[in-house]
Amino acid sequence: MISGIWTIAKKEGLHIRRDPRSIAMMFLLPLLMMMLYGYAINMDVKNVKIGVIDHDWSPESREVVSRFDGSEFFSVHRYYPSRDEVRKAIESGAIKGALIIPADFSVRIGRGKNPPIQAIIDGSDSNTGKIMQAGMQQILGSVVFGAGNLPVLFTVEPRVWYNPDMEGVNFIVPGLVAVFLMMIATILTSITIAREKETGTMTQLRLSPAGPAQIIIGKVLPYTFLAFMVGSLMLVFALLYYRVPFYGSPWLLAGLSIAFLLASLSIGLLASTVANSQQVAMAGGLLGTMLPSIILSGFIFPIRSMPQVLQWVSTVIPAKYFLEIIRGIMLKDIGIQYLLGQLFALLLFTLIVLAISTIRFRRQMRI
Amino acid sequence: MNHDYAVDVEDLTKRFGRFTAVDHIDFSVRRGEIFGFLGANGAGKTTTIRMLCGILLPSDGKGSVAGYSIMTQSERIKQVIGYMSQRFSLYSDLTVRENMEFFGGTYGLKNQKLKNRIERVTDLYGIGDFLDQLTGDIPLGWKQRVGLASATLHDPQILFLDEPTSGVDPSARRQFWQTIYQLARGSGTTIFVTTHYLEEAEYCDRAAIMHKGTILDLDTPASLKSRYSKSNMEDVFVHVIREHEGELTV
Repeated sequence: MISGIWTIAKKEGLHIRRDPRSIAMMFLLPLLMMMLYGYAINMDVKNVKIGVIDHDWSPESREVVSRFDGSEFFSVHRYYPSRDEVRKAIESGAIKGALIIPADFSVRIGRGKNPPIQAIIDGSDSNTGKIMQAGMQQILGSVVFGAGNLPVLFTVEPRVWYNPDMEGVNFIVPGLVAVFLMMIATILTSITIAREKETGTMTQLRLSPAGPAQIIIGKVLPYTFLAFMVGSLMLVFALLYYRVPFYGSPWLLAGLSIAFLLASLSIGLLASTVANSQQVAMAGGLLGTMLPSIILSGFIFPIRSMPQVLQWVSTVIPAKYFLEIIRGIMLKDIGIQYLLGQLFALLLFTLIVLAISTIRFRRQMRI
Repeated sequence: MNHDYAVDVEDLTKRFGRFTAVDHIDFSVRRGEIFGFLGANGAGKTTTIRMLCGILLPSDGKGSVAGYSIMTQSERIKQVIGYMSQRFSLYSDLTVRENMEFFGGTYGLKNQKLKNRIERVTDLYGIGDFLDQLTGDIPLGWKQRVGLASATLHDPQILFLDEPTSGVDPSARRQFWQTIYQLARGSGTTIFVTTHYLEEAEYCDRAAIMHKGTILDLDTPASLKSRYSKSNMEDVFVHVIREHEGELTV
């Protein structure tokens, strides 16, 4: 049994080695996608250009402006003399908002009163607008005048947990790892079996004493290993390039990702019992894994804001559980005790899909 | 079941839905015999072979191959048979040697034993020049020999050849049959071969004429020819089929 599996795994390794272009694709495509997605789905608001109308022109007002300019959220584009000029600048898109500092700003501070600062935000991009609002409050909240004896002028101080910089990349990139692992594992598995059906070598294999279990395990092993390598590469890339934090245990993540890979592979096997050509396997694999994994897993769109029906659908998407696992471990350092539910869901999924595909495969082995 | 027979079937039947591909056929093949299955495409030859090799379950009837039941002991059968098909079925992106190492490995051959066997078939079939070439790159006639080498690595008792010479030029076909002959006479391997090249029936010890899922006649080529007083197997075949179709229409 073991040596039969090894024989098939070794042969599968030769196929992989003979096809360096596919390997290159397998490693480069995820990195490329990561670059694209990392920036394109970047929902962060960084260095938003704002204008300033400073009626006071005091050291205090300049201090506030320099805080804004020095923050990650904003960069001060230029000063404007009037509201009309600001309006024109916002309409032309040169700036996304403005601060208006009243003439008595420093005088009021001197009296220990709360001086109002007016903020203008371009609400047409509601996402950016909301984040700008939060950013402004955060910055203003941190500005303290007076010689240390507590006149804290702005008390609103939002505190964000786990992802303190609210970096979208930290959220997106682990998700990308999940989606890609799934895609690679599923598509490779279904293609490798479809290819043998297409070229007729499947008949020769079936005529050899190698049993269905040996064939399947032997075929799946090398691709699991490959998917694992690709996943690791993506993670290293995420850590080095995007500086995504990794607070939890890499070993726990590695262990749980095996459960996820098994779930993905079982989908691939099921697809291969349906598809007789590599093209069909490829298309089916893409449709069956990529779309639901991206749209319904919570990768980008939060599950809780989906319609009820889609929320139910999302419970049978393995990527949903792995997303919770990988984000939980990387960003929150949660332990296995919080992830048992996800692990159980993945194993149950694997078991059911594997049972269906084994029955179908057996039936095909001896029609 | 008689164990002197390499293949022994009774009432073997295979239906696909309402279509009967193989219709209650009986025959036996003696050990060491070269047994030919003649028939047009769609006569049921390949379906029969698939049932005998244990990858297709019969709908009806019974049969044994090398003494093992084709209904219940297909795993045992696979160990002692070799199979080579009309569709060239080695991996074209692997070298000839890698293909042999792989298929030998599935029969549990390894290390020195595997090496020795590969050496032996390489010499026997004269494929030494191609050992380290990608299988997809070698000429078709040679591919056929490589396929044969790979199918005989594990010293099968019975070798099933499903249209082995399909698409190969006449001189390569003659060579191929000489090799088959050596194999049967030299090592006592039973050969079960299907073909639609009727002149190849002359190489067989006995031949069955198959038509629409049934066996119309089965005998040595010599007695078939004398019984129908024809000079070659092609005429015999045409005569037998005509007679059968005539019976049906009259």
